[in-house]
Amino acid sequence: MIERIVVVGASTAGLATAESVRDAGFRGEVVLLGAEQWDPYRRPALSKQILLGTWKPDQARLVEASTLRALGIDFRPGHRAVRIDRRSRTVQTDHHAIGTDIVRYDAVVIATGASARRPSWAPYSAEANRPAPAVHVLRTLDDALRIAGQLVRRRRVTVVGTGVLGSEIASAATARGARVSLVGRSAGLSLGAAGLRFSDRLRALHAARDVEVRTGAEVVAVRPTDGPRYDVRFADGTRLGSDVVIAAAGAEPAVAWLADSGLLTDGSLLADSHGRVADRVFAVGDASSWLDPATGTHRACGHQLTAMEQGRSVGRLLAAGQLSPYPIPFFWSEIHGARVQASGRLDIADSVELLAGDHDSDQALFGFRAGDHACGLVAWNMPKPFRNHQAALLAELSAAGSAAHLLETS
Amino acid sequence: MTIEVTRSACVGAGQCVLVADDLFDQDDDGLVMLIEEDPREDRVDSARRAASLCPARAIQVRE
Repeated sequence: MIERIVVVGASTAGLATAESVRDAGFRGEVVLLGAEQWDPYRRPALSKQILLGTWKPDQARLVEASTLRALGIDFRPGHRAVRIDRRSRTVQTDHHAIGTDIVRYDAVVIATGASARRPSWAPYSAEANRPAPAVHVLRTLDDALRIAGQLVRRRRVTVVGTGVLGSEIASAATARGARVSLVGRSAGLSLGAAGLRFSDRLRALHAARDVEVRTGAEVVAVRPTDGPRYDVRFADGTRLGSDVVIAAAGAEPAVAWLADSGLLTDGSLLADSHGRVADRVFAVGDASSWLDPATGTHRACGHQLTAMEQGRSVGRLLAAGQLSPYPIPFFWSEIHGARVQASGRLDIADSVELLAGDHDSDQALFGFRAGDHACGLVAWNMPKPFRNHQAALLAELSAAGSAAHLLETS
Repeated sequence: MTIEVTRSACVGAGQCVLVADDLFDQDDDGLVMLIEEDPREDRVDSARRAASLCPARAIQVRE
């Protein structure tokens, strides 16, 4: 009998789990543990509205603590999980003021998310509570506020990382009046699961705003200097003077606290296609990788909508014993004012075609195909055509047997 | 029941319009426009579904 559900992690996936457990009619106790002091907030806004300064932290809030209380969700911010003991069915937490606490569960949902990856040239410094020297990373609201405070007109900002996050940070820094360089080891700029297919489009957006893009440029060190504050050093011996350095080198599942739990497989928290990890243990969001029924491999979550759908899926399973379909990926970005929307399985595509708009214009809609089947969409500044094509895509992807045909063609 | 939308959080995915085009529309930038903030009782489920499908959690349905 499950009378007490403990959700470890109060960001997108954990919050969705707690809410949907209640929504599906669970009447027992629901405890929601958050490592940060903030109420649950919109993480995608960090690299957009928060860095731009158009939102105050309050506007990123997803839900008020009072709303959670009204739902009968026992939200405990500032309680970081440090250990799980499956024999006694307890989670041990640490709070900066309260200290250690022990939380008993009948079922536990692990939703501890991911941490920013720290490149070897930006090691963590305990004294400064950030990488040394002052290389910033962006994952939490506190990170974003710290960086936003550094994005000052005319400052020289170097963003290291050629993925979507790097492009978004470069875009926000430019809008704040900084002089921005976007650098990284990769041969081009990538857009999530679409990889380098849109590199030229991204380069053009950056070039139009005078962002200097250096690809194939591996950073090996960042050193303090007398002139500009830092010298970013590359493998080929070149250097780049910078006042602010931000590393956007991806994220790693935050599962170190599970090290002795027996729940990790080669360091990863693996769940089945419905979020089940072990007896009474579930996982959602970026902490875990769910088994993808289309490919038979485990995939990271990666995006907010998938995190929400995983949370709801586990919530319904816990509260009502219902199994939900495997989530279909969706993500969006905003880079120098261009709105990008992406849906479906871009990773398994073997061809891409233009569906609307123009290759050379800022408006374009691309269809991704795996064999004979549509598997994904990417829209640039075409929200309405995206919506209309997406209805057909979702129908195709969720149609019976879609998993089978994707498997055959991937 | 009332519906509230946070337009500055909207990402123009259009999921809300797909499930309830009598309650939601999109402007030329794709951002959500609320057609009906106080819908009939028989549209409550659709409003809730739109809120739950919104990738940006930009729609709130309040009792």
